[in-house]
Amino acid sequence: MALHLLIKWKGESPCFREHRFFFHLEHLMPNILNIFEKNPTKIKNYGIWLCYQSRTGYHNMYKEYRDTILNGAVEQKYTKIVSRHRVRFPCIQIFKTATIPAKLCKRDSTKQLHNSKIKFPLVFNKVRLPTRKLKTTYKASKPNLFKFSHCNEKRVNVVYGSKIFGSEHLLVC
Amino acid sequence: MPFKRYVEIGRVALVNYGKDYGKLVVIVDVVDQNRALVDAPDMVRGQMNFKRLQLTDFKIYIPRVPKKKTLIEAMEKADVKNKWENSSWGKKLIVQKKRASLNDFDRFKIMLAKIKKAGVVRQELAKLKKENAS
Repeated sequence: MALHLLIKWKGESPCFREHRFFFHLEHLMPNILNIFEKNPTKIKNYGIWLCYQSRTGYHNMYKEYRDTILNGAVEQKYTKIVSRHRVRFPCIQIFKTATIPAKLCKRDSTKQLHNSKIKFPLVFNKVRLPTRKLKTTYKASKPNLFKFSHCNEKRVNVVYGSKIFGSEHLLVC
Repeated sequence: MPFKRYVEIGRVALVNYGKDYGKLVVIVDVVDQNRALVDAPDMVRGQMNFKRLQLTDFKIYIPRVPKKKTLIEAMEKADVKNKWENSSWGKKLIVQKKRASLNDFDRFKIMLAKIKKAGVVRQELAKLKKENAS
């Protein structure tokens, strides 16, 4: 789990920052406590303010993630930023995180889940084997991806990867 | 609508991968596009990826993120356990479990029962053939 520490070292090279990070870790913070989430069974909207160094400069960002625990949201954030902006862990600094009430969320991808009557089908249902031991390279038959969602249509190429899953639903039906 | 099983609050799902394999859980809330908050009477409420869940036909009526007690009451009211065990999917799983837990003596008994059943079927078939022929 990503340990979440609020330390600001802006304006320095990634190498130097890492060195300073570990220096401080050993000398100024001899004791690191894991802060456990107070309500891990409650879903929260986390807003994360960060600054990252890209190949050409520094950028500030505000990102929102839905998760039950802060560590989970921060982990999500790191993986998403790596995939979207190719920025790795040492070049990112989080300077603020907060739990945001639903009304104040800014991003559509979190707001679309603020629906007490949320309802959507699982369109792409690849049934996995219960254990990895049973995995084989070849199978006797093609998997039926719509069997368990009971769609009457034949297999359709669904573009999943879109944030707004409402549009996926429209593509298939 | 071509879809019949939806991810919604109160949808009963079967866990088909991982630590809680084979359990019936209820979707209590949706975290994001890939994960749901699930709950069952005998487990701590937690999040689970939809890839681990297989939706069933059953749905119970609960408010969003209910208390554990409310959830258990709603499950009893909807009689989820009995409905599941009487459904064809549920029955299949019970039979599979039973088969996996047989010992050699049980398998011997089953062999005898199968032979007996086949014998009775063959007798009936012979009777019908005779009637047809005459």
